[in-house]
Amino acid sequence: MKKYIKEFCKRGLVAFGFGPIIMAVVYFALEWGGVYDTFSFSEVAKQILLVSAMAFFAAGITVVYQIEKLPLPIAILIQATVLYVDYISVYLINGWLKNAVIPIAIFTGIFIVSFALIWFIVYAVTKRHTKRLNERLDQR
Amino acid sequence: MKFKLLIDPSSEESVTVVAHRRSSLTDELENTVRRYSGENDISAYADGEMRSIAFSDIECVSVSGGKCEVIDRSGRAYTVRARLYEIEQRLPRYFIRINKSALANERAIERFNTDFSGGVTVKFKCGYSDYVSRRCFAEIKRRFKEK
Repeated sequence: MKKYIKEFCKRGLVAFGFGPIIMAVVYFALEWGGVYDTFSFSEVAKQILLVSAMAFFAAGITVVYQIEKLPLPIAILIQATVLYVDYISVYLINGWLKNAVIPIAIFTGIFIVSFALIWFIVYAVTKRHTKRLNERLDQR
Repeated sequence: MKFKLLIDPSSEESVTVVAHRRSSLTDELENTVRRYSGENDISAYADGEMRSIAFSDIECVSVSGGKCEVIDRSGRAYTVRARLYEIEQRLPRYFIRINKSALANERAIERFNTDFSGGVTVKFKCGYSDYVSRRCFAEIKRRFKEK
């Protein structure tokens, strides 16, 4: 367990440094979308730190896939739950998402669809690999 | 392929094969040498009886409840009094690790299946099946690609 906590921190710290870059992308996106706002220094600092923390947890949690004992569906569920809580809390605290039912429902829907899509791609790739292996088995 | 036989009574007897890749011929040579040296079977226990099981009759070796078990062609499990890594060292190269606690006889694999969750399982000819870890799956793909 200690090994995995260490690995969690290691992965998380690598991503932590990307916080300011993510924020820069978000600010560019806001400008590109025509959303102009003025932030105080403390507001910008808070947003950068929160996004860095979000990146830390999002990257760190990928360690669940290293735990061989953990069945894959459980690992996926853990990762999805952590990512969802991680994203939604940062979005709400930073004010990027309105604390109301409809915006949260839309965010949840997009999250589920995106996660399902990514997982479907992974599934399709694995399926193709097993098909190739089975073809090799048939050739023997 | 060339055949060389060096007769030297003063040296330790050994058979070395130089080949571009593993093939049925290299596997057969390995089996023959192991059989000749008496290293082609393993002692296993079931229902208080000891049995000698030839490596070629083993479909899978796995750890269950902290004990090492070999599963033979009929799907019967026998306990082995050795650790998995010790057995792995003795087994021929056609045995491959499929997860942290199991070794598979490549020749006894019937099918690879993908779970809906994206995980991979391997089904053996005897009907037994076990999961393939993501780490080992990469090695299995590499091995099968070579063939």
